[in-house]
Amino acid sequence: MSAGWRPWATLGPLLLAAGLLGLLVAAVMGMDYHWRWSALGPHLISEQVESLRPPQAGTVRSVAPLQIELRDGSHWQCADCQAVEGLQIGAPVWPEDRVAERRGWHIGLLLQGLGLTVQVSLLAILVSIPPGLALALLRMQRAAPLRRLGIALIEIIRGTPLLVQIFLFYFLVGTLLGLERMTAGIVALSLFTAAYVAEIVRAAIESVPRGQWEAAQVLGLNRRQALQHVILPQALPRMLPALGGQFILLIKDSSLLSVIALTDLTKAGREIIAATFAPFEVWLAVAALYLCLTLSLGALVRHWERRFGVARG
Amino acid sequence: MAELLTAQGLGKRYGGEPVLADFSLALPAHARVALLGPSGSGKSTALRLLAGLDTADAGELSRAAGCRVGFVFQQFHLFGHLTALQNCTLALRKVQGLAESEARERAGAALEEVGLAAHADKRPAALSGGQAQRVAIARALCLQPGVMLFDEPTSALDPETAQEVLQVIRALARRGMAMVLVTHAVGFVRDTVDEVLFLEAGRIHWRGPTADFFAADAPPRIRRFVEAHQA
Repeated sequence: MSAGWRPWATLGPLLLAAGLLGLLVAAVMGMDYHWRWSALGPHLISEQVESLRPPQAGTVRSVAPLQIELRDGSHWQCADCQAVEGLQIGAPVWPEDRVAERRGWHIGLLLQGLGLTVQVSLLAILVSIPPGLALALLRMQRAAPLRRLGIALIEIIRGTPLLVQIFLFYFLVGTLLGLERMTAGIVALSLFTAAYVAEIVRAAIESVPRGQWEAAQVLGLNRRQALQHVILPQALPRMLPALGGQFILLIKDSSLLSVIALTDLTKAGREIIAATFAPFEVWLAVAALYLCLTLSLGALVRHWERRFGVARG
Repeated sequence: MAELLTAQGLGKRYGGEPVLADFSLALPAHARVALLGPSGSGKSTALRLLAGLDTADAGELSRAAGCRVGFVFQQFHLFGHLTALQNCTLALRKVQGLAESEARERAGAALEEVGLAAHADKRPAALSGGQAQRVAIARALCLQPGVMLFDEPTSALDPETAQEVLQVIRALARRGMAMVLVTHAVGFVRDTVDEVLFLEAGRIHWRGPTADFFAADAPPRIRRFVEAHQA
């Protein structure tokens, strides 16, 4: 085999992707779908114009900035607004008159949903780490009852659907403890993730050569000190790639929180479709936004891998 | 003089198979003992029992009060995420509770002793095998052990590099450090060690002064071993 440029290695996947896209386009054309990308606009970000009216009747005293002397003698003014065209000094105005407008940016539902997804995911990632570490350590205990407890907890969490866990956690635990929806959602998501984090942490710890434990032992370090100062610092770079993958899964799994009425990116998408009847545009936009999140997290993890990836061999 | 380390009838089984039986050793101050024998004869097991890395199934092991044991592994086992100096200061700070500055000073002196003061800030990956093993020796030394145990300290090194490590161990012996070595470097055994324990199939097959081990009238099994290692 020659080691030169192999056209099919590059072109093959490209052609395949182009072919699939072509099929999709053909299918959509066949459906006579009317694309309305502009319908998405207001749900991302839009300029909003707020109309302002005076509280009482009065007389215009100045236009820029707008100042109106009200009937009771007081003055009404607004700083960040613009008087409507044609308004003149000395003109009488009434409470129903539109005298000025204020322009501002309105964050649309889709971006609000994105914000909630980011918030929930980041918090859930952070909250998942301590219990993940605890479960890993429990799972690695020498005492059989503790170890079995760790295994049981991990298997129960990994063996039941996240959707079911979210329901159970929200309706059962959440009700008992009086948790808010958001809190219940984050905790359910992070406990689910913690079980996977535990196995990643355990695998990384076990991948550190036995000799490192023994070297720590002959120097007089106890197990906790060895773990803290010798093993974990070397296990961390080994767990980063898998942890990154797990946290990307978490971002995507957070879409399940829409079942407890949290308006995350997915639920926002559904609501916008109900209002715009543009399902393809909305779902493609939702997919693109998730992809932005997961690609960013992936890049961040790869950056950390390069930074911490010093302790090999 | 009281013994630093005393082992009486130590035995060890792995999965029911005896790998060491009836191992006894009394190590007085300044004594230099070599455990020799073919692979699988139980010498490393004996050394690990002496270090407390494994627990014996039978027999008794005692250490003189306040006598610390230093251990050097065949594969160095330096901490990969720490510099040479940090490898040495870790136990000083975390186990002995020394302040950072004092720990650095003591670790620096130990690295100086093995001739690596200039490499204090390098990580293990940037050190040669011989340098790494000398750092491992310094790491054990800075805890001021009464006895040093060496488990095939030069078996992972090429012959030239091995000599540079053996020089360091020789210097330690000369300043009176008590030590037990598992090694295949018979030349080093001949010029530095006082007593040889020859193990075979988990038992001490022969023991005696080094001169007798290398003597022409040693038992045939010993002659065979010595000749094979000098070839």
